[in-house]
Amino acid sequence: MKRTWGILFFCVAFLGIQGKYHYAQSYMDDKEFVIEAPSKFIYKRVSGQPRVGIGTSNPQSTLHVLGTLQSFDGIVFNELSQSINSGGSTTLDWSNNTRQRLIINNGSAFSKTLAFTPPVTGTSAAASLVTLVLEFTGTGMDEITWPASIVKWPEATAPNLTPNFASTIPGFTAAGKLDIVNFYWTRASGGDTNGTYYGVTTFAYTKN
Amino acid sequence: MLIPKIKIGKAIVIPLFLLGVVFFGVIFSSPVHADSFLKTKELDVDNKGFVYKDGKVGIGTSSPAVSMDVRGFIRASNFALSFPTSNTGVQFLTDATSISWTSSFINLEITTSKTLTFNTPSKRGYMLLVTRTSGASITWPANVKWKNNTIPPFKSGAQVDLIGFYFDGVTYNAEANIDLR
Repeated sequence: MKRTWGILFFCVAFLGIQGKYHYAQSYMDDKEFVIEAPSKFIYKRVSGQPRVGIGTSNPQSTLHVLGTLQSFDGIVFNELSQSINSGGSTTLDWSNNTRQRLIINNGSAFSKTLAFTPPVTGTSAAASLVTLVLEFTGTGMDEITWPASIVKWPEATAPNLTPNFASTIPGFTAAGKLDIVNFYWTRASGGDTNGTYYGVTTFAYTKN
Repeated sequence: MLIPKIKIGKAIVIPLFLLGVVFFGVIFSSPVHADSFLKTKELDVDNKGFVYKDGKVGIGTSSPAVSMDVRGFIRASNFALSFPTSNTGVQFLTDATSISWTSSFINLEITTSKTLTFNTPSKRGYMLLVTRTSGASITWPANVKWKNNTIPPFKSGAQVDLIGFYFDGVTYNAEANIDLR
């Protein structure tokens, strides 16, 4: 009986392999495959999540291209939004999303301290553009404290955000306005893992 | 009994069993090498909807021109560039005078005054981060155009400037953010 099951085991394994090679569609849905091994094209799962690598056998993100990525129409991003209603500290993890929005629901003035987590972890050379939208829904004058040392501003001067200058302009309110802060983030190989954020701000857009 | 009894000794059954185990190991532990069924090492799904060819992937095109060529929008929750082994994505240059926009991001460090030349890249946006030591100035290419046709007042001291360009095929339209600290 044991020898029978041994033969059966081998036959099933062999047939499985045959089926796998001849009916690619049946396993591409949930298995791994590589074309022109080891690194020209790979589909695999890491911690249960699908990853595609082009030019790399070890994709570090959902799609990892070692080479040029070209789009004829552009790239559309999802935006990560969160509301803050009081002072304290908030960490913006740019590895979750490079486009983020803070909706500041203030009834009265408060101070907010921000911390940043870089868009790419590790120590390798990297660069990215990250964008923060600051949306103000109240009329209080709010203060944003930016991460020290890793954020740089023109002439070392942090932007005077809309709620601040609104308080000096008669009849102008910060409510319903938003400021957009674009950062060029860069990190040299072997440098500070946090990298450096070079910020540029545009002010007082009217929402919608 | 559906499975017929076959008289085979242990000398055969045990190797067969081990072979079976090995094959199962192959199945569950490593990526399939699709080369064995992709006779030309090319992939074409849905009549050119998704193409793999010569190490390049195309979506909506049968002839991908770069590593990944998408004829349409790319939608992503996140987008970052990371180049652990080469400088082809973000270039780190020191005292270079010839700028080749093979990447969208260039970090340029200059220790003495330079006259820059730019190549003619694709029409798109580029970022140049310039870190300069005191007294090091830049003479820009003639086809770099600034707001109000005036070169921004870059400072003479050691500083970092961030300059964004949009190249329209002829002109580099530039905007500078000066002295980031």
